[in-house]
Amino acid sequence: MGGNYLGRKAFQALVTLLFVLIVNFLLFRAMPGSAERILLRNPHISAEQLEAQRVRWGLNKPVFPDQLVDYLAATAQGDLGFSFEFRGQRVTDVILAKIGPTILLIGIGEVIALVLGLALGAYSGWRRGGPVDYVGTSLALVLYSMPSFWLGMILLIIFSTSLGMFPGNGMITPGITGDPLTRLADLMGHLILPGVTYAIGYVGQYSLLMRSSVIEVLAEDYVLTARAKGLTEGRILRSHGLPNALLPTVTLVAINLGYIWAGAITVEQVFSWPGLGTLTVSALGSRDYPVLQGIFLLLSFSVIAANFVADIIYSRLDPRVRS
Amino acid sequence: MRMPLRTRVVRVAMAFGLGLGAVLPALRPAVAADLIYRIGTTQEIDSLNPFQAYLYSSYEAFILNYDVLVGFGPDLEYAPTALAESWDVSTDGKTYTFKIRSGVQWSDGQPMTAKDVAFTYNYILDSLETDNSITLFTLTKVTKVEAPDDSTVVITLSDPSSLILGAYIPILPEHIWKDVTFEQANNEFANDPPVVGTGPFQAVEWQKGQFTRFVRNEHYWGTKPAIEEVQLIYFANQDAMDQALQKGEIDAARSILPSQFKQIDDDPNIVGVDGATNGFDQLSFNGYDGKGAEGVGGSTKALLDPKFRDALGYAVDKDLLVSQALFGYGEPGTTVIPPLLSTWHYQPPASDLRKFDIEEAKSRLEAAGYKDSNGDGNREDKEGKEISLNLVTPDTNAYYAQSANLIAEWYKQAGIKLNVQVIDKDTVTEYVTPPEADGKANFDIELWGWGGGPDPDFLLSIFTTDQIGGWSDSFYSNPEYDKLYSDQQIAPTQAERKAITDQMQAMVYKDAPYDVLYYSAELQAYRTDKWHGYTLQPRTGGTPFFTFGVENYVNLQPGPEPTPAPPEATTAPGASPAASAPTSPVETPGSSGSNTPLLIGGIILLIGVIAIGMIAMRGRRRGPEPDDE
Repeated sequence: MGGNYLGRKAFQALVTLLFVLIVNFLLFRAMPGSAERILLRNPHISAEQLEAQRVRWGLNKPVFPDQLVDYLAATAQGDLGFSFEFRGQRVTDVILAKIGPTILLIGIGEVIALVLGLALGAYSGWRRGGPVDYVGTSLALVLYSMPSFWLGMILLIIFSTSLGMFPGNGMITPGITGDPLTRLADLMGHLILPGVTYAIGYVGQYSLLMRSSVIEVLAEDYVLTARAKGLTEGRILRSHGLPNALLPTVTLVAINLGYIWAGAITVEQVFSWPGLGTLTVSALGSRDYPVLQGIFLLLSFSVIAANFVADIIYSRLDPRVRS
Repeated sequence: MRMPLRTRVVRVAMAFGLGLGAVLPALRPAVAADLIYRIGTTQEIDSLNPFQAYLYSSYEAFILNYDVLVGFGPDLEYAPTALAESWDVSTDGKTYTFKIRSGVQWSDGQPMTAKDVAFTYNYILDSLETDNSITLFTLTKVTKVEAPDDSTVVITLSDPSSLILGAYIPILPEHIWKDVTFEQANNEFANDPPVVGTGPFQAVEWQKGQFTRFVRNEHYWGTKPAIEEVQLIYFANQDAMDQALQKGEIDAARSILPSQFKQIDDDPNIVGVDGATNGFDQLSFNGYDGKGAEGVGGSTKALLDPKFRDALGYAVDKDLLVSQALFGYGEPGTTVIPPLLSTWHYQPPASDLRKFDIEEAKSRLEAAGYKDSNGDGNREDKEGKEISLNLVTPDTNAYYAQSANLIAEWYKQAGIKLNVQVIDKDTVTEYVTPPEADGKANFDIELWGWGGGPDPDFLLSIFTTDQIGGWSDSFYSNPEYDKLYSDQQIAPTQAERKAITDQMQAMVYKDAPYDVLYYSAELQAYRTDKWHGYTLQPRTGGTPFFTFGVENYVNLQPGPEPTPAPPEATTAPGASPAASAPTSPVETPGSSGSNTPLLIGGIILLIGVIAIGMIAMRGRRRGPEPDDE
């Protein structure tokens, strides 16, 4: 039964991925403007040169089926082609260089958001109606609804420009030297403002979800039973309340993790963080199709993978879904 | 079995440790922090390979990395500020002999000789014979480049022309570039740092999306700069760049937001430079004569009529465009050589200028035969078709869209319908490409701009018949103009050339393939508390950086200006009086007062949150309470 469930989910994920690949391919072919012209960026060329570029980039072949087949075959081998903007660089290299910074930013942001959000939500749900619940819930609503680029600018102006506490641009001080600890400290200093900006929005989201989930679970019959058995309130929350209340949160976090590549566009743009978000914006600006295609592929792949992982975790946490 | 929570946390932490290691930069030689000069820019360089770079920022990297053959002086005149110490022209004007500075070394210690100059020029010329021609640099009328010995370069021309002096081509090291094929030069060759050149600073690190670092070239032939390292720092967010300048994180910035320029200029430690751009923005009318070809050219034949274009010129209020779209930072436009090139700019006499006057536009349209015979408020062309023009403009500058919308309103008052389409720049390029270059020239009016070099030749070339299928986006074709264009290239003296270029500018103004809207300002700013000795190039109306030389990089001295009155050259016209005020060495971050409203806003926000909490609390007390703990 369990194997069957997994196999079905894996098959679904693969079909979705193939579909995404084809849409991805067609989408960029349907956009106005010819690729070879963008490649050359120079109208001052002869027809022979245009043709040479077409041959070089395989654009002289028909879109269907030749180019599509070439594209699928190359993608399957992990070859995403060359960037238009950064000439001579493989798309995979361009994207890989930006994944580290984004994972770092989103990772820190997610950890802060999870720890604070779940703690606040669990406590608010448990002590429902208490002062922490009232202030916490309204605060969570405000934080959740705050646009991150605006929040980022405000934090930048207060903590970077006025107070001078943290740097507000980039990931490292250009040309910084010294021992690894100094450089780590420099990196962390740069990370704080964007990390906090990213986290704040999600603290609200996670705490609201956790709160309602805890409240729901605490009203269940088995909690009443536990209470009748004479367990302490703390024990009830730890053993019966939280594990069950975490179920919907797992799904949300997994789906959020799928979107992390895209989620940071605004935050990265405000703080010039050199991650996938700023890469997406610059690739759009210069119509760097191969890079955009690569980012879209990565994004769709991670959403599909995150959902697949969520399905697996869910089936482990809750045996009912397996049957 | 569920994995114990603790184990999972440890695994996540480990994954993080790994990620961290990957993004930490490697150890690099130290430079005293106070001898670093930092320039903020919102436009990142696009390549360190001169044959692939299109963006203005990259040219700043090239003047730091390399030298050209003939340099430019303080007022953009040809000067022995680069590799050529002196030059001679043969009496027939067809042979140029350059004496190359001796003892110049590449940054890797190899000697630089006349052979490298000949190599670079021949590299470009030879590539033109292949499918991988290098088109970003042109060597007008050059037929042969030779280096008879290590200190002499002889260039032979097909016709007499002084344009070779203005060739803005970085001289590259033969010992590195001889192994690069033309195909590589146009494609995968990135010229990765450390770059080897003869310029005062060499790129040693380019972190894409972050910064480019240039360290002082200890082999530089000229004055040894006090600056040890130059950093071009990229800002994805323009507000953040302006904040960083005010905070002192960067020493200078390019392309300040017009809306923030005044506030920045008011800072006692910052001088704002309202410099002129070496270019213009224009309405380009589609003059492509489709000759009946299906789907080619503009939507109406009226566009081909100089009288129609002339009449529309009266329907544009350029003063208002400057004050509204450019926040006052710029000059209303007239001719196609910008006033920054003061030697060459031609200003039509007041009697010939088209002044904003909707009534005049209307009467000229009537006189030219564009009447509204069906009385619907919109004019018809001579074929009886309603005129409905389509304007395309790129989304690269907010002021393009703003200008286009204002113009649409004025055209409407004159009885001409104008639809505005704001799209990405590559699609605009696609629209304005004529059949000669495999396109369809499918537009009526294009609103965009041009930037030129220190020589006006390029800006004048746009209107030649030869450029249809090349740079031309108006498809203006006039044999008389073409003749003048070749004449000015071979004019023996500057005065004679000037007489011809004036005539050409007047011709373009009269026939109006372009309506030059404005010369927008190049807003830069620099701090005066850490470095002094700034100069502008050109001295009048110029800017300190992103010019055609390295003066400031080489000459700036650390510390604030020692005497209260700086030399005349450092005061920019249009710069604030703060420039000449004694500068205070003490920085006072956050005291500018501009952030007070934000702090107040933050406090109001906090109070709001608390208030919402209170209301929520009251609401709950009143509401029904289910089983609470």
